[in-house]
Amino acid sequence: MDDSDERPWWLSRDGDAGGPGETGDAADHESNAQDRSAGSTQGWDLTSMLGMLGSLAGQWWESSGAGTHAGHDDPADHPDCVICMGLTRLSASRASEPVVLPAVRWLPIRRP
Amino acid sequence: MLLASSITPSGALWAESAARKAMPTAHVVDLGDFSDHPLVGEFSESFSVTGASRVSGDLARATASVRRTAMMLAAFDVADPRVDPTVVVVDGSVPELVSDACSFSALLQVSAAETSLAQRVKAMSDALAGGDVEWIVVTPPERAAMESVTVQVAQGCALGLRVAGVLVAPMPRKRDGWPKKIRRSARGLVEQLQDRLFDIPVQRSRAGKVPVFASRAARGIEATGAGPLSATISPEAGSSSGSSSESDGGHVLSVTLPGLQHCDVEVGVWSQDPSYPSTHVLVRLDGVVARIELNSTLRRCVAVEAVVAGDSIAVSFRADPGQWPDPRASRGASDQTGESGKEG
Repeated sequence: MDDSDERPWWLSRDGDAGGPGETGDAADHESNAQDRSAGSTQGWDLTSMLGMLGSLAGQWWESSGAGTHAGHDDPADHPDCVICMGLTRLSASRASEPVVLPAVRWLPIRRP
Repeated sequence: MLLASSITPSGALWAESAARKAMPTAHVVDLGDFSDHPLVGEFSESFSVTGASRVSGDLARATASVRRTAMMLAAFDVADPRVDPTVVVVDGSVPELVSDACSFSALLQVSAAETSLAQRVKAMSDALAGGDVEWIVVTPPERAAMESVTVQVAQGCALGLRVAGVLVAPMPRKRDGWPKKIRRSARGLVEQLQDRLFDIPVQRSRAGKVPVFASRAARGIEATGAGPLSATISPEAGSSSGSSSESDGGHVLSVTLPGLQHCDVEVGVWSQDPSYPSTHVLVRLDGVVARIELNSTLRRCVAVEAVVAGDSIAVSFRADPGQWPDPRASRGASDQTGESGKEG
C-alpha cells in the first residue's frame, strides 16, 4: 500500500480539495509544503490548528477560574470558586464511617 | 393524624370508611401515593447497606423499610401544615411501619443528629410514639386474622400508638344467606377479641354499616404528647422480704399491653448514651421492637430480669454502684421517684 493512502485526510494541506479520497500524491505533498513555508493562508495547517486549540483552552482556563483557583489552599474557604465547590462536594459525598448501634442486652424472662 | 389499616387486603375499604366516619372533615391520603415523593430518594440515599453478603436475605425487607419510612415522612410533611386532620390509609402492618420509623430515628440520632432530615424523622417518630397519632385497624371475623390483630394491637400499644378502635368487618349477615351457626360463631369471636383487648374499643359492622369510633382529633382534643402506653415505676415490691442485694435501691418498671399474652415476648435494655448502663427498655413482640425511654433514676440502674404475667411486663432494676456511690442516696432517689407516668 502506498504511504500516501495511509495519510489522514486532515493532514492534507489541500484545504479546498480536502476529503478522504483526495489526499494527492507525494509531489503534491512537497508542493503544498512549499506553499505552507511561503505563508499560504489557504486551508488549515497543523500549527494553526494547535494554536487555535491552545487559544480556546486558554480562554476556557480563564473563564473557569482555574487560574484563580491555583492560589486557593482550603476548598472550604472559597465557596464561590467552581473548582473548590466541586472538591468540597466530592469530599462530602465520600462514604462516612458505618454507624454501629450499641448492642441490646436481652434479659432473662420469668413467667410466674 | 389517623392511620387506617387492615389485616387483610380486602378490608382496606372498610378501614378507609371507618377512618372517614371517625374524622368526617379529614383529608384522606394513601401511603402508596407518596412512592414517588422526592423525600423517598433523599431518605434512601441517607443509608447504605454494609455487610450485604451476610444479610442478603434481609436486604429486600431493609429496602422496603427505608422506602415506607420515607413515604410516611412525606405523609407527615403533607399533613403538618394542614388545619384539618389527615387520614393516612396504610397497606400492611402499621406497627412495623412505626417501629421502623422509630428505629431509623434512633440510628440517625446516633449518626447524624444535627441534619435537618434527622430532625424531621425524630419529630415524626416522637409524634408516632408519643400518642399524637391514632390508629384504626380492621379484621375479618376469622380466628387467624383475629390472632394477628391481637398481636398488632399489642405491638401498637407498646410503640405508643393511640388505638382508636378495632373494626371487625364484614360480619356474615342473614340477608346474605349465612346460616345462624356461622353468624353466631362470628359474634362469639368478636366477644373474645373484646375480652382480649380490654381497654381498646372493638366494634363490628352492623347491617353492612361502619360504626363510629371516637377520635380525639375529631373531637378537637389537643394531643398532649402522653401516649396510651402506661409505664409505672415503683420501688421494688419485694424490698422487705426479698434478698437484700436485689432490694437495695431496686425499682420495677411495669407496662401493661392489651393482647400481650398472645405475643412472643423478649425484653432487653439498650443504651444510647455510654455514660449510663441503659437508656431504654426494649420490648420485642413477635419481631416488632418498641423502645421505652427510661427516666434519670432508672438510667442509673442495671436491669436484672423481666417478669411477664398475663398482659403485663415488669422489669426489675438494681442500683448501679458506679452511678450511686452512696447506697443511701439511691434509697432517697427511690423515695422521690414514686409513681411515674409515661416514660417515652
